[in-house]
Amino acid sequence: MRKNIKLWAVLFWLIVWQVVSMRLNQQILLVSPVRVITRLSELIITKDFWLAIAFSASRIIGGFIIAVIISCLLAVLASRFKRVDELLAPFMLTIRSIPVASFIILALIWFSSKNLAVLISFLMVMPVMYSNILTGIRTIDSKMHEMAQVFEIPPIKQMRYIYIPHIFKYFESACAVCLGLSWKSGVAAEVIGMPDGSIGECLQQAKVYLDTPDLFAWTLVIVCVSLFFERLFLLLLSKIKILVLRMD
Amino acid sequence: MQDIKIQNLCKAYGEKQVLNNFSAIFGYGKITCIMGKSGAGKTTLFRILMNLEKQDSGTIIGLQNKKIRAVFQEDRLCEELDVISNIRLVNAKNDKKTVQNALCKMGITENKLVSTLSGGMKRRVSILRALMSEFDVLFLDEPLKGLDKDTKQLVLHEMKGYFQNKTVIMITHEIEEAEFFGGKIVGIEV
Repeated sequence: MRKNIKLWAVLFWLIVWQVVSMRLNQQILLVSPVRVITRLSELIITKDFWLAIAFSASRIIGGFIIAVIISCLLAVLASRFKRVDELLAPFMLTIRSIPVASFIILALIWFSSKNLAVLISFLMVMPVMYSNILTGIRTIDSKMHEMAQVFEIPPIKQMRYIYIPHIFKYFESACAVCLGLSWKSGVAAEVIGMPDGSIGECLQQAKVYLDTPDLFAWTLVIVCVSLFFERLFLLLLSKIKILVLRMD
Repeated sequence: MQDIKIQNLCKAYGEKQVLNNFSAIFGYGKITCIMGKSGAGKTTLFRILMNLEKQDSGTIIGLQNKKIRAVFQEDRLCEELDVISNIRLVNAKNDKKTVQNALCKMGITENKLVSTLSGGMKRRVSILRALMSEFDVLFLDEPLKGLDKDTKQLVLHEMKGYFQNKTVIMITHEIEEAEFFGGKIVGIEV
């Protein structure tokens, strides 16, 4: 879908936004894009802006990475042992079905808000990642396994050149979905929990003081930071893939 | 080295008897072609000989401790790897230059990702992978299926070069292919 986004279309919608904002002439209701950029340029030069990004990013990405590691382990176990798969199925379904807001409120009762984003990002990412990796493992072609058996390919080589590249496709698409998901859920958790110095707290402050330029500026920041991490992570994955598949 | 002796091999899938007391001898260092109608049990026989399936009854002598390799009916290549890597995956002793030369003889000049190759090219890579692996016994299940006439001739001539003193068993529907190698022809019936 992103490949379909053209610059002219983006400019068109920005102009529409600017015109509607000028016609309304109510900065609280709809701030103009020019005002958002101006506010953003003011925020960028402050130390607190970068500290807030670092605070939220470290927690959200931390939760994402923990979810990736645990989902990989659980998916391998579930593919190997039927009972593990059966045991985890209701757990994963429950996590998927419960609204994120319920988790956030529940987590706030149990823990402090400081690391809330880690837990929420983890909970949102894990079921998606787990089911994708498990599907990847389950769709490995048994014919390729037979080929490896006949040609007596050592297990490590089988893993590296046959199985991992296949599972990687599922892992990659899960990462693309989950990185955006972790940011959305992580920031939502921060808005409700309001840990000091987080992006969520800045958003909440903007809401309390009806500071629409701040609200739009921080929203833009979240989108940009989320996209940046998504691109960075996918680029890293493609490099890892090249390394894994390289044959000397 | 000894011949491969198959005695009274039986295999059924549920009610369907696929192999019924099949017996044959495949000579050591010889090429044998297996011919028969579709569904006659040729591929099942191969799967049993390659130890991918167990027979219901019957004995197989002469395959113990042998390096068995195969060209399957499907290409069974690693799509994410390039052509040379696919061939070297099964035998790392082949250096890149040797593989490249062998590929050129098969009419493949570029080392592309397998996923980008045409069906005919994939077939040739699959054949060459088996030919360049170290083997005592080679099973070929309709290896030239899907290749055009000229490519078939090219591949047949190349294959012959790798078959010197090797035990090769090939399933084919084409009598010309069987005659080309001049080996024994074994018929298989339901």
